[in-house]
Amino acid sequence: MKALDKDILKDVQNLRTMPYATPEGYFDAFKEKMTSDRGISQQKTHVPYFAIAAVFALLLAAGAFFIQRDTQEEFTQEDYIVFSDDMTNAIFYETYEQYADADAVTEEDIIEYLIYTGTEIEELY
Amino acid sequence: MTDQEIIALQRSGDYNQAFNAIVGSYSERLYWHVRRFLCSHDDTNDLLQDIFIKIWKALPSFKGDSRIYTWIYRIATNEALNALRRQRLISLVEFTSLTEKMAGKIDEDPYFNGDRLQRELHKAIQKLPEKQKLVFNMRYFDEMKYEDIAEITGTSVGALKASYHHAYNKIKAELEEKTLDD
Repeated sequence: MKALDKDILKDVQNLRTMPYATPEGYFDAFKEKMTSDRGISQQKTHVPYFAIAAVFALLLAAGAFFIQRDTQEEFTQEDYIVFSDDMTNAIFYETYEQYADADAVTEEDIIEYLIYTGTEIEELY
Repeated sequence: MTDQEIIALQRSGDYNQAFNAIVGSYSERLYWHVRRFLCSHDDTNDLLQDIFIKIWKALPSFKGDSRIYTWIYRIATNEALNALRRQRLISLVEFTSLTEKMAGKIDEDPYFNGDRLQRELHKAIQKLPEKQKLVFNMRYFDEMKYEDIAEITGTSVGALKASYHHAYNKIKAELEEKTLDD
């Protein structure tokens, strides 16, 4: 079955070539510019993106805080389930699995660990 | 000019000639290295100039602890990743994702002359996490050795192999899905 497997990244040869082009004569003009003035004339003033992003993040955080304050319940639904006298084993395991899945070790984690500890990729399959 | 000749010029204090030689030898290679990250020609052109300005300023302090090839690529790679992080912040302000933003750049690029599968490949690369994107580009397109990538990125060979393996499988699966949809 494995022999029938196709690998599109190996089989399609033109995928390794660059599909981008440049304006005509770009590299010659670029080299000329860089070697003549070290690109100093091209130095530009950077827009303070980090400052803009920080202000934006602050506004988002403030908005989230006020929304959460108005809507927050004292106890979550899970709290009611866990503390309820009516809790059955089935509900407990359903709740447990819901949270356990979030931290589950994925296949990707295992492969990464094995390769990191010296297992060759070929040995994994 | 070879890297050894460039180093000889740098060591003799002839920084002008050393820099001119670097521009001559590395402009095209670094352009394509950066273009794979930024997709658009204009963004690449701007960043490439910044990279060479950085190289020019740092050239006198190059001690020769690493090869000049990996030193230059380290500067270019760091600048490309920083540019991507800036793009990510901008996309946040614009209420979009970096992946969508970069896919848009590929679609709108007047200098993109590849076929549909190549377009899908480069869009799929933009979806990868930073480290996987880095190692995939350097390994798949440039066929760089893991040892060289490790020297450039400061990451262990084992971790790079794992990242490449994940990146390769994700992109392969995505391209196969796209071709099945046709």
